[in-house]
Amino acid sequence: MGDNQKAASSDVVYGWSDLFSPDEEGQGPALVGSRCSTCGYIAFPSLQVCPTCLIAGTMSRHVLSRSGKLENFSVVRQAPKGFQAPYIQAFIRLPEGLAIFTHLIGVDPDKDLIEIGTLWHVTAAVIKTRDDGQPLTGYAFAPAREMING
Amino acid sequence: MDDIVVIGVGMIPFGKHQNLSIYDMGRQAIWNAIQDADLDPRKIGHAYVSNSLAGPLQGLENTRGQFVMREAGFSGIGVTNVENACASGTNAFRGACLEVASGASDFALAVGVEKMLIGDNVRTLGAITGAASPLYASLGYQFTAGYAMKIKKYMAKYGLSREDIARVVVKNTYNGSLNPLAYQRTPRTLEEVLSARLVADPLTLYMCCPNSDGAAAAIVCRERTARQLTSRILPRVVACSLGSGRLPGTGDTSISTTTLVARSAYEAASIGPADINFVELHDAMAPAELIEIEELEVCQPGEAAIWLREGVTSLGGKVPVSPSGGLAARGHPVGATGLAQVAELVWQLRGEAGERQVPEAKVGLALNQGGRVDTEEAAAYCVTILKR
Repeated sequence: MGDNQKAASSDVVYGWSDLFSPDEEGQGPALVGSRCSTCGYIAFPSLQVCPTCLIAGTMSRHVLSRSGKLENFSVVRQAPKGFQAPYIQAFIRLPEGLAIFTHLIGVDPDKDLIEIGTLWHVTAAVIKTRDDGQPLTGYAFAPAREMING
Repeated sequence: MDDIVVIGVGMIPFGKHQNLSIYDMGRQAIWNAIQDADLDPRKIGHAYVSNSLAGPLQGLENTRGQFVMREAGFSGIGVTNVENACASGTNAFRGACLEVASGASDFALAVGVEKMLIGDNVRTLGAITGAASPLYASLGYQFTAGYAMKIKKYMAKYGLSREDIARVVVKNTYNGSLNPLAYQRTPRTLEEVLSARLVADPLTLYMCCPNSDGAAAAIVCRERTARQLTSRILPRVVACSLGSGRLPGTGDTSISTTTLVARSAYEAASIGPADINFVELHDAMAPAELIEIEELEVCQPGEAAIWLREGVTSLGGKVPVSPSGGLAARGHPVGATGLAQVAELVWQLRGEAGERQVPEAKVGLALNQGGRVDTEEAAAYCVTILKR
């Protein structure tokens, strides 16, 4: 809970500056994890020690793919404080192999057809309203098509 | 742990205890266990106290256990505070077992307490979200929706209908209706379960365990120590294995962590899953029962829904599952749940479970799990096996 409170008192989600790059190399927003130089293990959120090699000092900053396929989702209809229900909680599988927990945005959970296997693109988004009424920013995934059009 | 036994258990009814503090509830459960054990309480050398949410909900961030024990009349003995989210209870039990197995104490107590119904549901929900990883928590991870995703995937894999998953609630609320300590004692029909409000598709309200207040306790010792005091049935703790959710890509994640921890428990107990003749599950969302008995390898992959339909997991069946009613009927005061599971195993093995008694109860297993690491896995998994 201590970590939650830390997050709630800031205007970005927990660990934000380490896990998100707003405009990585001029290519737009991206999630940032870490990668092991020995075995290639990719971690998100980033880890300082590789959990497969268990050797210190092999992990370094690694920018993740910006798009991935929708693996699973559920519409949350009872929200914790500061979140606006309904919202969509989901896992996106990146080409690197890891699954990212995220909100889906840019779709209406009650009107739009949301299909497993479709392509989604990472972006920054307001995730919740803080206790003081100010927005809290985090990452989310939006339909990839919309990103291309928009 | 081959000669550790449970000499006494105690619990208070789970539900809404508006006028009881966590200390009041703890005291009652502790003294119920002492009376059940018929033990001189001065012999208890150490207490493991489990609680998950008293920090965010009651503002008690540190040394909760010492306050709980003090209110029960104990001061001076060692107290270890245990927090492992919804798996805290069996973790405290494990600590007590290891305490006596190591010879550090002759008798050890484990007690779990939780007060969740504070008149502010949104705050309670926020505190539960805190059991997820810091990143997931700040993104508003909902355990209901996490379970919903897992259940959706399972339903698709075996072509299960909404009726198939709703049937778990029909069985468990019937069991709960026979349990005087359960929170929800109304048996639900298939139609009621299916037409209840949707919480996170495909889960409806009656599939989700209710937040609850409650406390439960157990006292353990070596078998030869207990035998000097009593001639009653003493359920033996043949396994209490603990594991943590793994990061993706570390080891063979095609095998679930539940399976790995269960296998280690079966090995410790020198038994196989076929020897288990009743199970208490961590069905925080009732349909998870189907996945969990498969992961425990108590049934074959894809067999769980068939077993349920054919009554194999009902009270009169070959392997009754959650005779207590499980989390969905008994209620889920998170830090106390694991010890309520232990109490249920003990009552069943002693033949004292009344109307919900499993005939010929010989070997019972409890699965307790809690939290969420940065994957689809729980943070803590604990499998306890008690044998008559």
